[in-house]
Amino acid sequence: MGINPRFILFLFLLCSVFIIFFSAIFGAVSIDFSAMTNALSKLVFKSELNLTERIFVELRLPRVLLAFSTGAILALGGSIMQSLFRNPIVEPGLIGTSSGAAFGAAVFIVFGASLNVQMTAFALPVFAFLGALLASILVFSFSYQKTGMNVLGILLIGVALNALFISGIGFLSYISRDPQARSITFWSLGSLSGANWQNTFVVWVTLALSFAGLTPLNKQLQLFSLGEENALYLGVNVSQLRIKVMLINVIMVSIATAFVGVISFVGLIIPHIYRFIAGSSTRFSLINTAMLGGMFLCSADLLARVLFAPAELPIGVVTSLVGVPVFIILLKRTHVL
Amino acid sequence: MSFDVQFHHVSVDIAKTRILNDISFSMKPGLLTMVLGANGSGKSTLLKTLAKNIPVSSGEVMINQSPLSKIQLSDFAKYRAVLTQQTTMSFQMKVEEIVLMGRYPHFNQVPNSIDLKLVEEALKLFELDEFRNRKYDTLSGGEQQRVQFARVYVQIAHITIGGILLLDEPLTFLDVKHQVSFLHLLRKIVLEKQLTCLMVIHDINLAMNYGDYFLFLKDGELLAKGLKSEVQNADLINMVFELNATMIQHKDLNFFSF
Repeated sequence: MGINPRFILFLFLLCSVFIIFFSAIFGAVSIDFSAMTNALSKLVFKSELNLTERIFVELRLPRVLLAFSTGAILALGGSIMQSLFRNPIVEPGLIGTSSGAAFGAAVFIVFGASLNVQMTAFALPVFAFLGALLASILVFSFSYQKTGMNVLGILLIGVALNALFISGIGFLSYISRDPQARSITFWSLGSLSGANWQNTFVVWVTLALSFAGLTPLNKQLQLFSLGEENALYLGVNVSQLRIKVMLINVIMVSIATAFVGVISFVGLIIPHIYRFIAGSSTRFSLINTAMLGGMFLCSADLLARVLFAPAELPIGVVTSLVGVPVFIILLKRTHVL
Repeated sequence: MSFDVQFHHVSVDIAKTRILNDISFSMKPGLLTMVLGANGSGKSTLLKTLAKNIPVSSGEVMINQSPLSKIQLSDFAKYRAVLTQQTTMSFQMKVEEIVLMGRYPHFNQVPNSIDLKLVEEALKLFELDEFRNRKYDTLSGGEQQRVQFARVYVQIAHITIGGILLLDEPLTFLDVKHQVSFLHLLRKIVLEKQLTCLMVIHDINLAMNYGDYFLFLKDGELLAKGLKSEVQNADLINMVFELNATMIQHKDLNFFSF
């Protein structure tokens, strides 16, 4: 394929708005369109909301928006990391970020109470963020060389540290009590049930800042497809760009993961799906990939909420269940397999 | 603007090993300088030093009287282009998109009309018009190298007269027919545009037939430099490559037989 990227931008914008509202309708309680407009107008005029309207404003809307922004961050992270490593199987958690976050969260779930940590809404995310940061710093410092960063080294150390953190999580589940072990599992598979306006706001600000930081780097990043040597000959300061891109990736993925847990597969497949739709054109590729990721995670969260309502599936289960077949079909269609 | 290049006693160390030792020579616009030498003699390092990929350990490379170390990489990319052996793309791209990448050092977000015009001209010059919408991976090795050559050309094509073009063994994966057509095109461009051109090449006979000026490297030392008449003799070739070659004359051309 190879549809005009400007057209895709326009189409994705419309679809994003539609999907955000559509997925806000469904759930344990369905909310019709008039309830939504009533709630929004009452918010403007500051009058009392009824129960359905409060569910919409206080639970559903932040959740849908958190899903969208998280999906956008993961897709963006996958896209830039695949360009940077010149490798289509790279995903944003590769350099230890996601497993580090999951480990940090597991430490909090098991030891939080005995460590006398204040049980605020932000305590678990802070632990997860620190875990993600710790993992990424370890990967960087182990693969750092005087001559610059060794890309293959980063990948290998990332894989090794991922394995280490996953065993760490396994160990913590093993020594923990049953409900704690369940929370660890639930968190390792991701969930958007903790969404509120605070964390939604934090993730959206992160998304906006990362996007603003990446936009001027995108053109240089595209030149990596010719290889690092050719990128350098086209005036790209290769080592500086590598550090900037990885830093933005680590920060935005750590923050998103800290609130929602480990959501696999979005970062891997969305860039591929976008390339399938838009071809190799680089115009608007960042914003379009981000919107596609947002729509995907919004839809996945909708499925997670409604498939076994009122019970909820971990969202990682849905993203894998939907993502893996789509991914394999895509690979077949593009003759990679 | 055309460019004079000068190496003043340049030495290069990589991981504490001396790769190039005390190299001095100069290059003039419109002349094709061929670098010859055995594997590991420092040919590629010489090219990468001039390309600002590897820093000098001592000495100085001068571009029109200004030291290369003082020139910003992003500014240098506006008048110096480099073609490497073979380029594999990590993502599928169309031919015209790859050629446009040669203009990336010149525009911010969106290419302007001059960028697009130069790409069109390059597609015609390199006979790639019919391939413009083809995916890179579906092309043969010779066609792929032509696409990369077009991309490299377009990087400095806005300069009416002048530019620095460096080629690192571009013929390695081409058959004889494509090697010859490549060198024909290269000569034409170097002359018309008065490019300052340096090429690392393995084939001594092709080098002698198409080059204007020659540098012979052995173990990091510049063993000989000069015009064809000064360096085309079997003794030098035998010393550089440790061979027992003889020179054969055919009409007004000389060939080496090994």
